[in-house]
Amino acid sequence: MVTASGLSKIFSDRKRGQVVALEEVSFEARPGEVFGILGVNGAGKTTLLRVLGTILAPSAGDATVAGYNVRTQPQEVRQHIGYLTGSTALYGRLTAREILHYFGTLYGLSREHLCRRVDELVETLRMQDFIDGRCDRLSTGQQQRVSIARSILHNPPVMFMDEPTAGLDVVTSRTIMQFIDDSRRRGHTILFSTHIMSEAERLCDRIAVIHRGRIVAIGTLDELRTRTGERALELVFLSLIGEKEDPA
Amino acid sequence: MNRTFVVFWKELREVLRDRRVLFSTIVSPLLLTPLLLWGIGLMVQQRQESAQKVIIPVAVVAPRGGEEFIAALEKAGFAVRRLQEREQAETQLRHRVVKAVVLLAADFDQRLHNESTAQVQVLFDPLNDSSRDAVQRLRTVSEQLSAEWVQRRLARRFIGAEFTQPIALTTQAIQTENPAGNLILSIILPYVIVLSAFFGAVSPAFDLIAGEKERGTMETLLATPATRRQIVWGKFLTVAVVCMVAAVFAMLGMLLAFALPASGQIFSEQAGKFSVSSWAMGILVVTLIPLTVFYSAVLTIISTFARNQKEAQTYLIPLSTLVVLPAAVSLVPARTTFWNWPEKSRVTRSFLVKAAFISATLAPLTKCQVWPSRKHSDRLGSIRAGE
Repeated sequence: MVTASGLSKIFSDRKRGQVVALEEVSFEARPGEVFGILGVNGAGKTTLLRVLGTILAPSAGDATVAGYNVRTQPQEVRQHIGYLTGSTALYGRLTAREILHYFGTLYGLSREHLCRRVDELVETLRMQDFIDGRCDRLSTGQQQRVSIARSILHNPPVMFMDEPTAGLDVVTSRTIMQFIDDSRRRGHTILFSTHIMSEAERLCDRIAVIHRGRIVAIGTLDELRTRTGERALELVFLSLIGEKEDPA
Repeated sequence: MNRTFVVFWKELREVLRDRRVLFSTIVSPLLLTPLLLWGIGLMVQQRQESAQKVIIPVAVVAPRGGEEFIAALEKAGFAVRRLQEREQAETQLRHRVVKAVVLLAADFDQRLHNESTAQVQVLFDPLNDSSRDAVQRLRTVSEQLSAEWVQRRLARRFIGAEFTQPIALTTQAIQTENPAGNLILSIILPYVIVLSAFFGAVSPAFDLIAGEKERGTMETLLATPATRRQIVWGKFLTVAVVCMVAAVFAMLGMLLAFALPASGQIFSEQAGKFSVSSWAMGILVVTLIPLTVFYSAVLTIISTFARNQKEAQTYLIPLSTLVVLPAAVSLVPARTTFWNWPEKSRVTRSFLVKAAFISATLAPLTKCQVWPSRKHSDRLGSIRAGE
């Protein structure tokens, strides 16, 4: 469902010159799978999801999402993905319902279909109390539920989630986890980037460890444990990125 | 619906809920500008009226006679202090006890009656407003009394008053389609419109693009099937509409201000006497279109280029100079007709000339404003060309 082959992304920076954000990244994520992208801050997780989401164009390599090429069919790719990030903000002066209608129309949903879908999501995500309230007056948890609804309005087969629980409390994080579980059950492909080990351990079917723009290992948690000889994911991760645990 | 218009309607709805934009584009020009000008006009009017009523203390040093002149001063509202010594009078002037000192020559009455010129010297403090006003009023009194004495001297020789005035020229103002108030309006209005159009669009332009990047909503918008061009067009149209609305309301606000007699007096004695035909108003609004398109496009480019609203504000400072200086050209009355435009209204003609000047000065930029280049698309978040 999502394939990347030799994907690279190089930024030009006036001070630092050429910055390699992604280098020869290749992997495949299958339908009904939560594919974790695990890495420290600045490892290249967000850049990878932005390239796959056609927000950025790759410098080299290729990728397909839901069968569409990110270079040649960007609009089709965007039509078939849901994009959710932890830093996602909403339009403060619009109501939650207006935001859902706005994005639904951009996704090309008909008015009747859109109204039906919004009602469904209001029910599923328990948004009845605040669906007609202005977004700048919603709590962080309520805002994140609106963001989830926005990202799945068009029922996309592929979901990109870039640290979706960053800065959220336990209850809201749990809502997101349940949402990811539900999406997997419905057969969606989910690319889930995080630096929180417990989340990766709990949710991911397979994990790609990314470090300094390169994928250093891909596999199930058990495969990675076997490869490193460590039990805890944290130690597995440190071992894979070449950082030794401090003996003190 | 085309995605450009989906973006446009959403942005317009958001802008209409932004109190800052509503205040700066509608409330301020329509309510505050006329009220402010009316208040200032009222103050000026009251000051002029009270200046005429106020009693001005003056010292008069008259060694002999001068009673008729002194009586004329008292009749004209001066409080006369008769002093013997010039030094004493000067001291009082320096201490601002009196506003001026009138020195009548010792032979004042004698020269007056001998058909010669009687000398009056006035001492005043040039740094004191009241002292300068006193001189002005003393001059009036002197001229009036002098005119009376001319009549008396002529009558004594049995000569009529016409003797001193071989030719009489009189003037009479007639009502025209373009009263004098229009001249003032034609100078002020383009300046106000040009500035209001530009500064009215700044807040929405920076909020819609740089603000979206800053808040993190741009990323989700870029992940939708809307193309970069559709997004830019939708936002650009919104900015252009706000720009136009700001200019139109500034124009209405100024017309309203001129309609109030008190505020009109700030600019002209012909306060309230102006007319702008609906035809002229229509032309004015049409002329605004290229101006608003230009400003909106420049602001959209800046907003796209900047990473956040703060950065956009720093780019605005030099650009403001480019807008303010050409706009100031409108403060110079247009004496040259650039083309034979029907003289329906001076306001329209003047505005057309100035708008054309501004557009021509900055025209080379207009090309890139509407069609963002590849580089600008990169700033928006995509490096995909031809999308």
